[in-house]
Amino acid sequence: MTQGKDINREIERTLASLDGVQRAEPDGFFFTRLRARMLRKEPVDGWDRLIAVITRPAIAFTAIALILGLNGTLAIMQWKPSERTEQASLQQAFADEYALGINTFYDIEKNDPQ
Amino acid sequence: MTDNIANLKQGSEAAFRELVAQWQGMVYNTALGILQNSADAEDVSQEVFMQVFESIGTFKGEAKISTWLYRITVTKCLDFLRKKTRKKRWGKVMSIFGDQQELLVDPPDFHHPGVELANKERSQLLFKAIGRLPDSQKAAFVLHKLEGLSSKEIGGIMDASVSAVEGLLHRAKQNLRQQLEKYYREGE
Repeated sequence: MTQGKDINREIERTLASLDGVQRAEPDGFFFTRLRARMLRKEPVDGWDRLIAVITRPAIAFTAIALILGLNGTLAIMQWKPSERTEQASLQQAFADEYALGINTFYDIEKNDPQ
Repeated sequence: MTDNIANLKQGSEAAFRELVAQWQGMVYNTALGILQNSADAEDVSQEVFMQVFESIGTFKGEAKISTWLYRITVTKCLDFLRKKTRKKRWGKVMSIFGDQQELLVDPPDFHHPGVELANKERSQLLFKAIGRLPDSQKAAFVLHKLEGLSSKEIGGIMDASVSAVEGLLHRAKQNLRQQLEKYYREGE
């Protein structure tokens, strides 16, 4: 019980240790340092602003998701295998029928028995 | 002071110098209480006045200049602490991969220069506990204890009602008591 009272007293004294505290002041020549920093501060150019914006996680992840989504959509739209195969076989049949595959003089000679 | 603000809006260097001279102690003391590091407090104080210089045009005089300055200071200090915490976490992650450059070390116990020597050790202990409070409780407690502001004034700065500020201060004291009790019990 006594220990409990002692602890409470210690707590109260510690909580009161900031009572009547004096205000802290910055080191001398604060204004000089402040002006020097203001002069040092370079104006932010357009590129810096653009980079700062596009490297924000929210914007970067959204852009990546959009690009991936667009890529996926385009890939799905262009990938029609059955139609392509059908079209290719039709082209091949047409080429065979009219001997369109022959493209050199030697091939013409070979096909013509005369 | 109103003339000084009007002159500052015109871009007067003398008016800016006067404003800094008048309020630097208040800004620095608040920053020091929240950040508990003199170099960081100086850094943030400079940023506060730089923002004041850049955005004095937006100050309409509806609030007192001191309220406006306190608001900027508290916001900048809490942003600074969040950035520091992020850097610390990143440093820990990088240290796993062997890069020690970003690892930040916690400074030794903070001693406020305005505290009497007799209270030095107790105030160090109290500041350590204040450092562990949630942001809003920390800001309210520092403004109350170090700057001696009333709940109404703190409410004006933190954009909260008087009862909300009183709640924050009550919870802050409760948290501090718990931390101190744990410290003293373990020290027995």
